[in-house]
Amino acid sequence: MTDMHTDTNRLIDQLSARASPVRRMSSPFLRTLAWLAVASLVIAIILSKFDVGAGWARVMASPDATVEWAMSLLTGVLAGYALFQVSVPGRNPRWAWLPVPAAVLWIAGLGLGCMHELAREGGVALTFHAGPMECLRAITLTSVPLGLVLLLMVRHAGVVRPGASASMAMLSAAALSSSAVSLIHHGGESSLMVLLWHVGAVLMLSLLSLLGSRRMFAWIGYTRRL
Amino acid sequence: MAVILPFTRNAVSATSMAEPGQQQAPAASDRAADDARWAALMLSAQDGDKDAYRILLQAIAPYVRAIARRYLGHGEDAEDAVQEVLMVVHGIRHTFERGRPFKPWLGTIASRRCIDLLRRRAHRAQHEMADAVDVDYHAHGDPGPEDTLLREQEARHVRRAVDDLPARQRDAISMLRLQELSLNEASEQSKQTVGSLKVACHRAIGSLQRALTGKDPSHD
Repeated sequence: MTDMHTDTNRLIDQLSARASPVRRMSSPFLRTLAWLAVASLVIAIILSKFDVGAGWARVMASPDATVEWAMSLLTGVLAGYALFQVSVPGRNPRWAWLPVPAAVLWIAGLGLGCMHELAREGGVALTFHAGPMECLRAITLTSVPLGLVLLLMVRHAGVVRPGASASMAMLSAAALSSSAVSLIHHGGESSLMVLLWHVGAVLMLSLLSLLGSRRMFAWIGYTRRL
Repeated sequence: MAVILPFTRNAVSATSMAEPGQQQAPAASDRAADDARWAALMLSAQDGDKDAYRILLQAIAPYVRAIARRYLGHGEDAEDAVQEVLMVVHGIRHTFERGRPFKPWLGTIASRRCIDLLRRRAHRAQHEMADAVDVDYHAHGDPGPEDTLLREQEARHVRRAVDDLPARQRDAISMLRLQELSLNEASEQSKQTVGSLKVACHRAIGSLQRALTGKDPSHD
């Protein structure tokens, strides 16, 4: 046991000899602002290639559509803030619940839309369309690089809370991407299809990130340098 | 905001440097004082103060060791965990925020690493068990040269005993037991009745038992 203590003491000497100054991490609030600035820039560049006027008009056409869209945006923002909380050692892991109410309202809004359409149009409202599958592709293509940016911002989280951090990162990136894609898709989809392809894409990406969190952080995280 | 104490070389208390088993339970005020001292040392370390960093690491090692022993017992794994935790602390020391308590920060890192080590230990145990099962399987499934030789000798004895049987008995045992034909199939093939085949087979088995074991089955 004494030998092992000697090894630990030797390690302490080595580590303290390498104690170069480090830049302290900013607060979760400032880091969330930085993330939103990056995400907004990337999404603005993508949206600049499309005509978003019609999409914006459709989102603003009814209070229900506005609330749904705002909730998807809020889910992304709150998931980002929750990420910068849970990824820091010593912070309360319950912050991971922060985006849940907004996500529930978003899904509930779409569910309510499904019910209204079913009452109004009958079985037609439940017809499956593969067309909006394009949304799934667009959300995935936008959120994967954005999610990688977020993982880079919290690459230390692999040794803290890898699962919660990776899923929050992808939830934030995917929900923001979904709100952006809502502005450019053609419209006319039933609420069920939006629920299926938009919410489905967001949940699928978050779940995949949760499952692959350790592997992703092993690849991108600081532990590579140890 | 926590109180940031000025760094001094004597900042670490004697209790925090002692082994957990040797020290008396520190009072809440001592624990709070330790936390404030460690936070101050870490802030100095983040600014590149090597002495502060060494004192901090020496001070937290017993605390981390106590956590590691709670998860991993008193073996080598616990000391491995202490060393891993110290390396992680070094790697992510920039994540400690001014004004935040130090012990929850350190405690999260230490607990996570211990859980990871436990997981790794369970994984290792599972593999070792699988390897042991493999070895056991091969020990029984793959006979050694002595077993092979013994089986070859036994097969030779059986073949010789079958060859020594009268022709009717030899044909009957060959068709019914070695080729596993039905009585009707054997009857068609040998042009014998089913009854005579049964009798021939029964006699053949008796003859073989006598030849191979030296015992007369009629006396059993």
